[in-house]
Amino acid sequence: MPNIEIDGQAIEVAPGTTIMEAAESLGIYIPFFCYHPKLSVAANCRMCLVDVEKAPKPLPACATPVADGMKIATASRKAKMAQQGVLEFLLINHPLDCPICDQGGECPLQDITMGFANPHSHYTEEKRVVEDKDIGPLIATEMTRCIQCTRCVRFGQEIGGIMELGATGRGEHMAIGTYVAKAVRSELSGNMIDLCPVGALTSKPFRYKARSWELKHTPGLCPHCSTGCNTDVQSLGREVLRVLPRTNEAVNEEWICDKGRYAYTGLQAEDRVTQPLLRVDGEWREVSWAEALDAALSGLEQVIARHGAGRLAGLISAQSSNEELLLFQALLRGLGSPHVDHRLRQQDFRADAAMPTYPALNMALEDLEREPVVLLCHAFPRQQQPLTNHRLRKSVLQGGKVIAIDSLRRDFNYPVTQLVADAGADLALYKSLCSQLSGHAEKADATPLAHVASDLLAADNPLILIGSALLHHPQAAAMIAQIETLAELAGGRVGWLAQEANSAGAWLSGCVPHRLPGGHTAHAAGLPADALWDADMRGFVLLGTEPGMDAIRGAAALAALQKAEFVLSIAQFAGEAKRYADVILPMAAFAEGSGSFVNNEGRLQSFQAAVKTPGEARPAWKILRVLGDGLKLSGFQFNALSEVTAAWQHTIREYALDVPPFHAFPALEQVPMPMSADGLCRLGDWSIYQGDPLVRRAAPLAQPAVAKMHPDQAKVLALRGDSVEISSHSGKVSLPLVLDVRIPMGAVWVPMGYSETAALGATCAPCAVTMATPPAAAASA
Amino acid sequence: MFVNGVTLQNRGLPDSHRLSVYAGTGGYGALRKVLLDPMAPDQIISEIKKSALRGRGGAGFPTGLKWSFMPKGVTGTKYLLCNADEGEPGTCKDRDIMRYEPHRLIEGMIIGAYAMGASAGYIFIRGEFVEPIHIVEAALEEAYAKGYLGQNILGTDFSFDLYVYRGAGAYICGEETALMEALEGKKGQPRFKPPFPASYGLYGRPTTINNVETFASVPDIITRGGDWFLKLGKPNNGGTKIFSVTGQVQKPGNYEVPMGLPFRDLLAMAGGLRPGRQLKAVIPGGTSTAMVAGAAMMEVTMDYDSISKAGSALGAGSVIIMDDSVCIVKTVERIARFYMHESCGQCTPCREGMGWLWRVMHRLENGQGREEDLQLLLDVGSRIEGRTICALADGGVAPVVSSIRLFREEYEYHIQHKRCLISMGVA
Amino acid sequence: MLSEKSLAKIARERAKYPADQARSALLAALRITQEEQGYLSDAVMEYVADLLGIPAIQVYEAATFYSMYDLKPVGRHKLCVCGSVSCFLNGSDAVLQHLSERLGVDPGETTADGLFTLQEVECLGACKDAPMLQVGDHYYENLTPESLDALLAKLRGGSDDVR
Repeated sequence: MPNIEIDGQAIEVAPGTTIMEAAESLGIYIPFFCYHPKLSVAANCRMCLVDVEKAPKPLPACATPVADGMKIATASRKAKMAQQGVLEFLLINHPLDCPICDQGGECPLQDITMGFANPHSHYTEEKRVVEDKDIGPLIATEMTRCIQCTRCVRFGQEIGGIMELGATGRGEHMAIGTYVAKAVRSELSGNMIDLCPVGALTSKPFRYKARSWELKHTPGLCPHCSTGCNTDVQSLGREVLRVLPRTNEAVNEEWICDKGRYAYTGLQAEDRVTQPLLRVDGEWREVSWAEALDAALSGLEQVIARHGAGRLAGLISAQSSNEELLLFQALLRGLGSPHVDHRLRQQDFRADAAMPTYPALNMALEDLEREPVVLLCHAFPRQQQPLTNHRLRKSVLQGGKVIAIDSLRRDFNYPVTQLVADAGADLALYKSLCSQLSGHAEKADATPLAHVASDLLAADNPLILIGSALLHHPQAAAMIAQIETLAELAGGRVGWLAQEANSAGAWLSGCVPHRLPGGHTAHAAGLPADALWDADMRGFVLLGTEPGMDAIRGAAALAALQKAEFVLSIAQFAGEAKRYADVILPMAAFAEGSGSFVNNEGRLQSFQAAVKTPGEARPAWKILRVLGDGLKLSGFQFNALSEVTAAWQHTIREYALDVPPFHAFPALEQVPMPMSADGLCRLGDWSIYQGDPLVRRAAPLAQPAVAKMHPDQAKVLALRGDSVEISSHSGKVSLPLVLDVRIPMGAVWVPMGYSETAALGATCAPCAVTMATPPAAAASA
Repeated sequence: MFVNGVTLQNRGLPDSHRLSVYAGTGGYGALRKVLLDPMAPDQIISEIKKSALRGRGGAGFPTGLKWSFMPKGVTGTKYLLCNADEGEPGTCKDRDIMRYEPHRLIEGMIIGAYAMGASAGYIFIRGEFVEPIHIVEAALEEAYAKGYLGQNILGTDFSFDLYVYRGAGAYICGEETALMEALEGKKGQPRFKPPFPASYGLYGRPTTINNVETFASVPDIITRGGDWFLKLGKPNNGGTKIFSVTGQVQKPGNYEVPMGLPFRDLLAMAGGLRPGRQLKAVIPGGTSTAMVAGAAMMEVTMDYDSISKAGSALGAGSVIIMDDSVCIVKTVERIARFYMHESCGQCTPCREGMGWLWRVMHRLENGQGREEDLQLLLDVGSRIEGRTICALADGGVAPVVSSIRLFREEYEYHIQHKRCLISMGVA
Repeated sequence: MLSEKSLAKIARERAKYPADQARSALLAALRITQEEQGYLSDAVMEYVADLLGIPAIQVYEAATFYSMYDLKPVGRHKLCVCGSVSCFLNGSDAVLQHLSERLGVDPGETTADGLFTLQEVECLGACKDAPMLQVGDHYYENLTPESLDALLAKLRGGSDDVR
């Protein structure tokens, strides 16, 4: 172990430690720009030059490994001269436009200039101007400010896993940019803004909105997936202006994905409700809370009075907090309705009894980095849980192996062995894999399937992760049962990649029709979400959800809601609710309320309201409390959120972090795939930026809906041009067609979560695809 | 005197680039000796050490010592690279070795590969050298055909594959780790060291790299012995060296002479100065080395130690002669432009500093100089030197700083009179 | 997008490097592409990226780093006049001026007929034969006004010494 001395302080460090790391552990600050502990060492900015005894030249602390007996001075004359010199070079071509720079106040270049610069520059030549690049709606560029540290470039290569930014040109013409002004597409792109030590890359939606020092910082939690990334919600007055990662090495390290970073822009959507709304004679009227609550209470009472509580159902978003979930099910069950669910995207519930207490990863996120073999079952974490995906990526970079089984080839940002099912034959693929694993397969040793089987058998306790796309499948139950068999045959263990920020909390809080809070079996099980649409329900309570886009059969959901006598929607946005609701109660949205979530690991984390709710909007827990009170239900007498939280903890008690992935399976009736002979199988899932009401409204993230098809399939169907009509038994949609070899033959991919695709109904249903009738022809016909 | 006796010894023969001609003068004899006699790898390296051969690319690192750094007993490929990215202004010797003596280079590399256990090699030739590229590629084909390259060379269990890699226009690729980056298909940006190429080189594998002239010196050292080579030159400065004498002399050219030859003799070989001209200044080792005043240079002998004592460096042996018709400011401005153009851009002091130096030089040359500019140039230079990953920036500073020290009055004249002390007629 | 001949050439270059080092063939692939197409268009660089299985931005980085690649169309003959110190000391400025006058273009420009692009470049490694210039694969050395005029005449006469 080398013994060294830095600025007179002695320390013993592990061999291979750099001077920078050793200085950090001594609390000695050495200025730097290009160095970042999570990126490779570039040693190009030269800001961290220090004076090493016996070395003729100053050495970069970030890249120089210590040697026994090394004596380092970080602030000697030689070190200071070097640091000052470098800083002057960095500043000669920097525009020094700090007064109008969004980085101002949180800028390492400013800070280090303050601390280390010689106040007099000798530069009198013309300054360089660098052309700006439009790299998309998320990142604003001001490339004249760039100091060429290449952190952003290294981030793309090393963390993002997709290299989009590069340093082009050479010498003083070296500039950061994308390939010929392409937009950046990585789902982690916003982190490059945080990494940029100057104002070259800043947040485009935040541009010129505020000075950084005016912003209030509130610890938040990202509500957009089950990873549970910790965020720093930054606001000014009543407006959220920025969401940045808050470092938590165990969860999100120091990153967040673009969904978590930019979804807040949806808060300003036009259809945000800030006043209770009441439908009076078919017209929407803004009313007082008292009037709205009266209408809500009497609406519910009337439904129950006329049809019984069994005709009332409640659906809640799994982005809701534990507190809201607990109160929501208490409201419905208190009224006598067993129909409570949060699983709007699921269509096969036959395995409900077998489902775990909550969908748990059954391990720490951090430990995913060290998994040698992982099998992903219909899971695409790069879109669904980007920072969980990042852990898997790290495991692969360190020699781990990831295998994916899915309905289509996925665009992973690391090497993955992919097995793609024939269109609609997903269950058959799991069965074939089981046959391979059990050695019953026919001799076909060189097939990819056989390779996967032997990889799984060779692995010691491989990790099998079940993804959300599997749950959305019409044969989900049979697939889950097959995976149980698969895990036994492979000697592996199973974890669930939960979809939403509080899927775990929704299960634990009893927002499923067959389980009560704490996972206890409900004596009288209600109907699951998808069954409600065909069950002649007369009343609905919705919270934070838009079934037209959130349900697996959006059109059927809309029809059922419109047919119902009374619909109460507790919502942030009115757009969809106005089509079917009778009362809309405005609730707090992201960053406006406090509460807690349980993430995929089972980690209970809480978040604080960063801003006041707009207008008359109220936190959902308060709305539920008032409703419960008004309906004279017991268990709603709370004065503060902390009391609800305490009630939740009391009700749920200790829940295990490591839960059995399955309970006993019920006998599963065979359900054939709804295929027709000449139809195509409609594949589809909620795209990364369509998954919930807020992110759907985030304009900078918006991606238009397109249908995708294998080019050969398009050829077979003689599809030309870019617009096609896709029809299923439930309806018809028109979309641009994109040819994509990742879609299997016999299938068309149409995304969920868009109002324009809702008519098509559930995934895996048979579809026909034809050329869209050109408007002119349609007119003449 | 033993002139043009080692690396360019066949230059005068017709078709000297052909294997038959090379073989006719004993070519590939050293390889046969090494493989068939046989000579142990360690023996070869100690012979090279004995010869005091120092790297001919500019840095002058002892070749035998470098070869001994290559790790032994590692599994997987070890690489041997030849640096033929000749591009420093004033340097034009490797081009002639490749044009006239490609097999000498190839034989030297095969011997080196055998000595260090390398199984694959690349000759990195600058992309503009199309003629030498074609000649070397043809020579490689001949060598493969004769069994000097490929599997089981000369029937032994030693195998070595050698290819040409074409650069694409970047002086910095002459820096060995930048060359490796370029060979990997990347921008030629030097790597921070450590790790050094011997442990982490091309594709992260153990790698040794030498200059064309260095490799071309190897066959004769093996055939005639390290002592023979050493005695051609001076102690610690073994052998002969090619000096590319360019600039304002009557017979510019490549002169391969024993190390330690007096400069005045070399100048005479190159035809001396043009009639009526006086020697004003010499850049003895390529533009990255400091300028030496003419009078001082006349007392120097052409070897590493003597030139170093005169405040400059032997470099790649690129002797640029300037007579009294030359405007130093204009010449240095031209040199500074080169370094600005060739800076790779990664290190701050070089990326920003090379352009700064040139802009000040450009102002001076164009009559817009200021009193404080000379101090500014020296200050900027001192803030660049020794603070970058590679030596390019130091090389860019050297001519500026040395010329100010030697010809301050000429610079001051530019500042005071807004014009040249010496007007350089356009040809 | 590229001819069979060029693709075969690129495949030969690819074979020089280990199986997992396709990127090593990038500089050669760009050279071969430029030889066929005259310059490197955005589309063809993306094509080369796909061919070698590397991100397009890495192709763009290399194409903008090395001086021998042209990202915009150039004349049929690119006259690259060396202006570094040894050539400078032997009258390279006069060479440039002579060509500039004869062709009616400034350095960096292309003649209206698309025949010539005039460029000043840094050291080409032929310092003992200064002043010199490069056209296509060839060096023309020890230039004089007469030899320059002869060269222009030869190139105008349809020399295949292209670019």
